[in-house]
Amino acid sequence: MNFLVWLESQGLSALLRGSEYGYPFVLTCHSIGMAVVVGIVLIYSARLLGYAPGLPLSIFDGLFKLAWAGFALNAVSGALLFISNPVHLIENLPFLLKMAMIVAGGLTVWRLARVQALSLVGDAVLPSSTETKIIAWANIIFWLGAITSGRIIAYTLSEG
Amino acid sequence: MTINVKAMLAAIHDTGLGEMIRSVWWAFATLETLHFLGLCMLIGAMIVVDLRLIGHFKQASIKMVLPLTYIAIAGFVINTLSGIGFFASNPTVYYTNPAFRLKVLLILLAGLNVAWFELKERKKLLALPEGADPDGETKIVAMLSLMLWLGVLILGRLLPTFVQPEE
Repeated sequence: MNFLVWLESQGLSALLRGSEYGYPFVLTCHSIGMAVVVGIVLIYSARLLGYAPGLPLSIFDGLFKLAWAGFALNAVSGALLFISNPVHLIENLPFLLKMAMIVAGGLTVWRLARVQALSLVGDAVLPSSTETKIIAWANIIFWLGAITSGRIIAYTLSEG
Repeated sequence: MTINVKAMLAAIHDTGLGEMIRSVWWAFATLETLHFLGLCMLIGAMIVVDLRLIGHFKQASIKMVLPLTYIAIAGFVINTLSGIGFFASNPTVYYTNPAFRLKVLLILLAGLNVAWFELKERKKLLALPEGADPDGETKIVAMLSLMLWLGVLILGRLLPTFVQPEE
């Protein structure tokens, strides 16, 4: 906690809070990253659930690189948003829930990609097993949960 | 006949929809969450379709990628409906916001771009031999699509920054 109090007292934290355009700029980066990461991950899950069955799964090798770039953008912009108000955020339940949802969403994507890699024969893939479909649905729910809890942070966070 | 903008905005403000979104405490936040989901669907799907048209991910045939446009359309419908809700809840604040006006303009341009794609490019693409590259015109449409939707996202996120003080 002392560390967070110290962090909040730093110039960068004050700069992010006080600047007229800095904070909206970081938020904008965060929404671009969100669209890239969640957009690609939703399409991946939809594909494994049977949508657009002609779409070769190997296309996601390239798309996941793009998604990682979006994730990196959001790790950086998210860290800056955190630094702007660390003391309140660390006690904010929707924030903690969002972090948990992102971890769970990441793990389910990793799991899906692993199962898919094991069942891949050339570029033809077996229809998804029931287990894969359950994980794909869970994946969609986790990312929706991350978006929802992220939105609720804005309504529950007291000013720094 | 002159259109009285102020009276129109006031009328939209007083609709049942506007009243409901202002009075139900969770309505606006729920619409925002749906708006975020819709933008992920729209932009995620357009990234894949447009990048494929430009020449990436050639292991997928264009015919196999085009069904993703339905995910984009679903996202657009979600965001139009939730967007109407935002506007009805406080029409004057949106109407006077320069970022909102520019955003609407970009959405209209993106719509024209879609019309161009549907009227001219789709036929050409379906006639394209397997593995062939779309022509330069199609690639321009795809690039415009990516830039316009990204612009719409950026302006949307910046709306609160450009709210004008009330008269």
